[in-house]
Amino acid sequence: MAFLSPWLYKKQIDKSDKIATSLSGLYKAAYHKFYIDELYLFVTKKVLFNLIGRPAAWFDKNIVDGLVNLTGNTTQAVSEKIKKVQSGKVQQYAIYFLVAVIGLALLFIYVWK
Amino acid sequence: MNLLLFITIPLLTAVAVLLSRNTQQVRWISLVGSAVQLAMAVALLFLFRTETASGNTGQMLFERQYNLFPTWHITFHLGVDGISIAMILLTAFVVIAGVLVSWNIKKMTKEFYFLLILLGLGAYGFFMSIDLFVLFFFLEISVIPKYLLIGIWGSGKKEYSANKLALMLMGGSALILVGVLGLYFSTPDHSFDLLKLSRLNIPIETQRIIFPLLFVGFGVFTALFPFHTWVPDGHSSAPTAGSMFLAGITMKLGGYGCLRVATYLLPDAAKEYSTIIIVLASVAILYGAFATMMQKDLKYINAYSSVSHCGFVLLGIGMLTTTAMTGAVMQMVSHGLMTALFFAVIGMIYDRTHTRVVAEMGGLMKVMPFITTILFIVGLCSLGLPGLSGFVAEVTIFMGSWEKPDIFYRIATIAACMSIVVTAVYILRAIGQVAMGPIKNEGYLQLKDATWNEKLAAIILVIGIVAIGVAPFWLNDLIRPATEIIMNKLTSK
Repeated sequence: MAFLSPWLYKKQIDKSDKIATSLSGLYKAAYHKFYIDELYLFVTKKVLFNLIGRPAAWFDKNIVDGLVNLTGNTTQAVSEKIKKVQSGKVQQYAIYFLVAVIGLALLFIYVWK
Repeated sequence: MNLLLFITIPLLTAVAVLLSRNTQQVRWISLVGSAVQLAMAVALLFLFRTETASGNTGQMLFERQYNLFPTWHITFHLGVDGISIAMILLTAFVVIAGVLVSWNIKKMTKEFYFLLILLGLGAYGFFMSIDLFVLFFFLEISVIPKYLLIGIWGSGKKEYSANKLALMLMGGSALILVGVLGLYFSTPDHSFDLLKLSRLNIPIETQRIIFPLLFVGFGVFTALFPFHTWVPDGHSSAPTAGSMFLAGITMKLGGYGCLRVATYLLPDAAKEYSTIIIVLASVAILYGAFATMMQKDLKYINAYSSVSHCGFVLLGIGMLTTTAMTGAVMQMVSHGLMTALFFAVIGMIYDRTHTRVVAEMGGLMKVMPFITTILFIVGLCSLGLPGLSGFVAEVTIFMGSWEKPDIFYRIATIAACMSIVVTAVYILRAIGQVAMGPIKNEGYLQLKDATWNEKLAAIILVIGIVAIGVAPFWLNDLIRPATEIIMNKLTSK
């Protein structure tokens, strides 16, 4: 290395430029640091984040969380529908009682002898 | 050592907090109380070591037993072994750090500190109980104050998070209760006592039913895959000390329960279900890590990362080898300290910048050198840098998992190892953006660095992390005899 740099640059002729143009492909790759930065950013941004990270985060926020929220919302909706049963009106309770007694009586007399 | 002290001293502290007259008294009483608890925990460690060194080879040491309900065979049976002592130490460290970090809470300080001390009490009792009923009782004590802490002192969508957390943890506790009752009724002489149950031969059909109940019940606490959603919202909406307790202690209650109650008492079912446990744990590890990468809020990053790290605990337990289980307990201690410190630092940053969004922060290292240094320490611990406790725990789990030659276990181990890379990606991105680079907001130049209480809290937790990372043999010697007993039960059938 110590002998290479004086040979390339000491005499102020464009030896380095000639080498660069003759090995153009390799020179370009080395200039761009062998594209490792681009490769790394591609793998992390496009592959890991977009294809794996984003779906995982979406799945967790919408589907897993959604199921938990669904349980909560279903419980609330069902209780809204059936809360009228406890009306507090004694007349309604009396009707339920009467209908149930008649029904059970019919059941006992005609079905379960 | 009288183990009842671990219950009476926090209780006395809590009552004294309730009876105090102003905020200064509340804070100092809590601090003194938690410092006494820390001293007791360290003393317990040394007493335990002297006892075992002098040849006492009982499974549980310092036992105390009092009859509570003779008709239902419920006794107040306390005792510790290596695993319990490690967890009690963890609780003591996190409690005092939590008390210190919350020094400047203005709103209803008395109630806040009362609930914190109560949480600590529940955790101590849980780790010491040998009677399953008393264990369940202390578990509930350490869950219920969370609802109040998050709902009142939290931030963001706190009512939603408090509800979700309380309901999911209650659901888990319900499953645990059914499992405990199943164990109680499956024994001919109806006992809740862990040691008695461990000597019985429970038939495999009963084990097959009870094990999933217990494991899933405790698994909800420790972020088992489908039941982990209480973690992100709960941790992010909680106040700083609340998050520290949640991630540092509550998630470990589950891991301890999975190991001590589910795996130890029902070994044959544990062997049968180990495949599913390993799959779910690996999913939690990788899925938690990938979901973390997309988060923009620092607290959500840490919360999902807790899901991922607690997956390691379940992986270690599921692998059913001594080294893996020792690694699982080490990971519980290490992650508890690390995540408590991480939440403490995030709380300190949030108090100053009033934002938790990573993109809005930058260049904080110039303004708050102490806080960002601790942020780096804790971030590097999270991604498993050797010299800090995260590496020790993860390496132990990997080595234990690699002991099993079957291709399935090897693949699970490799998948878990790959998650370290993902952890590194998100941690370094988040921390690098927050601490380094240009300052995003001119207002940040006025911010002050850590105050004495925050510095003390951070230093206490860093001491714990470095002590395990640099000299892990003391923790290993503490835990390994206890896991060997569990392993003997597994292999003796």
